Amino acid sequence: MNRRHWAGAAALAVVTLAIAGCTSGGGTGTGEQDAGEPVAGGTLTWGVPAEPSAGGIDPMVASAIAAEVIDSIAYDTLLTRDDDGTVEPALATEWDQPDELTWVFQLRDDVTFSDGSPFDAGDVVYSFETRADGGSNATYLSSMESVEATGDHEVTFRFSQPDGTFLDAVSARQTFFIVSEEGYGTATEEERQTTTAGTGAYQVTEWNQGVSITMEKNEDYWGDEPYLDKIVFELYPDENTLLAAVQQGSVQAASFIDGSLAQQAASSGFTLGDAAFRQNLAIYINPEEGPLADVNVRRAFSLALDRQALVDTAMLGNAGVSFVPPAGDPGAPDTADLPYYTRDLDEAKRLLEEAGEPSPEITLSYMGDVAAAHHPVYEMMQQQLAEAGITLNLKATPLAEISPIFTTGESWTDLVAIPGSPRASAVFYLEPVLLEGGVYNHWDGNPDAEKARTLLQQAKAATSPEEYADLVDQLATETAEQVLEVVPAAVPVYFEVWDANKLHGYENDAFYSRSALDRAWLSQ
Amino acid sequence: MTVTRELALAKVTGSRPARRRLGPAFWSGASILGIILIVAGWMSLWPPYDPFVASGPAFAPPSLEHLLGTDNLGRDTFTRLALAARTSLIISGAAALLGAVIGTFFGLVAGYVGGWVDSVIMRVVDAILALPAILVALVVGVVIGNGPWPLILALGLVFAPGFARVMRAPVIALRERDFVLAATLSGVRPTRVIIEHLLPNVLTPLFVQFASVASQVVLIEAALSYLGQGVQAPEPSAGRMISEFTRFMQMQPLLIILPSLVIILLSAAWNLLADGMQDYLAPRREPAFSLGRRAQRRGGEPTPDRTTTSTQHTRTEKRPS
Repeated sequence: MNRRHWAGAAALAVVTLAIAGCTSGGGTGTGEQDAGEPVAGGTLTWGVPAEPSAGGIDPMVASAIAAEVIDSIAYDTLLTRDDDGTVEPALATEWDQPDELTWVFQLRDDVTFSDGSPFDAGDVVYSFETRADGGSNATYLSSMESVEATGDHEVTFRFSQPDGTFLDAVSARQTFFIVSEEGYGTATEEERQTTTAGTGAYQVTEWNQGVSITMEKNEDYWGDEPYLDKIVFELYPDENTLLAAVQQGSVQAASFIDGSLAQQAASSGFTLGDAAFRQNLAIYINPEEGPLADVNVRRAFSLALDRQALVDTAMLGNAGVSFVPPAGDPGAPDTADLPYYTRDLDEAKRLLEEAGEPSPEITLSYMGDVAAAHHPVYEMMQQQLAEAGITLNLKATPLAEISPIFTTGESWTDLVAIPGSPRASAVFYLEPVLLEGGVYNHWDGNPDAEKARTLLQQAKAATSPEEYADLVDQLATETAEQVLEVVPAAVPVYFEVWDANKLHGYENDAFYSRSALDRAWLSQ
Repeated sequence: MTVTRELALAKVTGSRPARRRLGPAFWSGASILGIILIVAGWMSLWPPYDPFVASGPAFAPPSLEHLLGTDNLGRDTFTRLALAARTSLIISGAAALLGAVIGTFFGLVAGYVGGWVDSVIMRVVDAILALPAILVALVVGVVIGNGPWPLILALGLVFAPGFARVMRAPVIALRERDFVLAATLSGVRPTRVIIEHLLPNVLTPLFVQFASVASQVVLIEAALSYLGQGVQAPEPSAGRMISEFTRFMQMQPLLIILPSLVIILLSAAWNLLADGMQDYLAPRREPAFSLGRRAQRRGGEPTPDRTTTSTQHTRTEKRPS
């Protein structure tokens, strides 16, 4: 290296330091000040860690959480729920259950889709029929017999058996989106996947894959006119970069999967929404072979875990102790009452002795290349289990290879950790594990899961909300009793942070649907 | 027997060659490796804390109790870093050794036998050299699993062709030399010729190549572990520490600075060692620290006392002289 090179290197170092010095000063806001009257207009830039994947933003097909968020802004559902779970009207104004097998909905008559086509009962019938016929979450409609337009703005659903989940599913914000028969029905697959034509306040007008999704104000929106002209969801696949973007002020709001990064954003002056724990860090079990085929080993495994420590230390408090359904769900069980759920090392060792496996070796596969925030949980589980004499081997598997472990069973490990997604109703969390054809179901014919399966089917056919809640509770207890699934913790889907000095009137909701964007405004 | 051409030349010219010393590059490289080895050995035998279990509060700053602080699970960073350095050192040394053994064998055979054997071996070598090391390591990881041993195997195989090439060139030159011909004519078997007469004369580039490959392996191991495909949790690994702790970059920057330093130190140490040995064994090449001398040379003739030795057997794969 000659002198010129050294000089070059020195100059580079100086520039780097200068840039670093310039950028570290951002984000020093101190919370919302008196913002005054709402102002219309402006573009909100929102940083997101993921964009829709397979199926794009097609409301009938897409199942990625990133797509559900976009769709829940662009489309409406018949009913909706407030943060406490109380059902509220949306596209339907009234709903009634004349008998156990029939539901009748009265629809709004002042709604048009963003493409100009009017909304009527035919669109609802089309939307439900399309979904039942192979759309995402079609299993939610498994007992629906028919859906008919019984008037221009009246729809009647008939069921083959009582359906305890229907009201939950209809009012879930990310589930039964209503599309236009005229618009959606005639659109090409590409149009359905890259643009929206719903009844929501904002519609997707542009999607630059890998860069951003732009939503513009829907001029025909049936509710109060929204203030924002545009919302741009900018993609930052690396959340550390997203944090930097937040701190620099490149985005006015952001959603993080990693709670500790959201905390860091909050400590630099951003408002951190109070998020509900709706996503379980579910660990599915191989009951067909290996040590976990024995229920006592599974119980010992569950007893050896100190879940509160996992939440406090491994997740730095950004999680909740949980079982199925997850902690933030209205049907969530009280984990203190669940069997084999509170740490007891002596009992765990006794159960292992009884099972004839005093020191079992168990392998856990987890996604090594994504969700880094969850990895400490698995490492800490390893420490905790070692104290009971259980050796937990961790196997980092790339995202692309994790689900074939379950679906094809080719490289079966004893445990597979796949974070779950939020579901419309409590029993839907266990459907994939217990019901025939469920993607995580390896319990078919296993007597340990018999009772749980029966309870699940009874709950689905519950005739009253009380009966449903009671059966869901029994189901959770039975699932914990037999340890059919392991849940170390539940996390929010997203931690939302926003700059309260610029974005006003925004509050996150319990369903990560960003519905308050309808009423939010930017200071000019 | 080995031929030291220097001595022969010295007799002809009537003066002894200036005694060569190991330079600062060698000593700094060797001492960094030595220190890491001692610390890692100490931490493996008598660790002050269990590297897998919390031993203090999370994110503790450096203190007398925890020299380099603790990580997000409250584990002692110093203990874990020492073990990470040990793993990295073992993997780099073992992979380079494996590559050296395989590569040297094929290099010697190709160079000595020549003809179609040489052509076949060298074409295979060319083909393998075209494969990116990290890709091969990833594929091996998928096929036989992750962890230190598959890594050593994969990287050893990937770097073997480099050794084969480095070995072959001097052997071809040596093959025609009188002492080899003499040995062959006196009926010494080819295996013995290779082992006793050729190998000792090509050891010098082998050492240089060994150290430079080890330095590359350190980086590749770190990269793979960063991607989650190298050393598996909870076994400490510098690469994985960086990827795990990037999220805490603002809360406790030491958590990623320290493992980065370990990687830099290890890689630099191997490189310095390679440079130092190169300087010692092949003095015609400029020593690593030669800023002053270069300036001096620009004006005048090259210093004659550094050009008197044989150079033909000191090529390395990375830097042909």
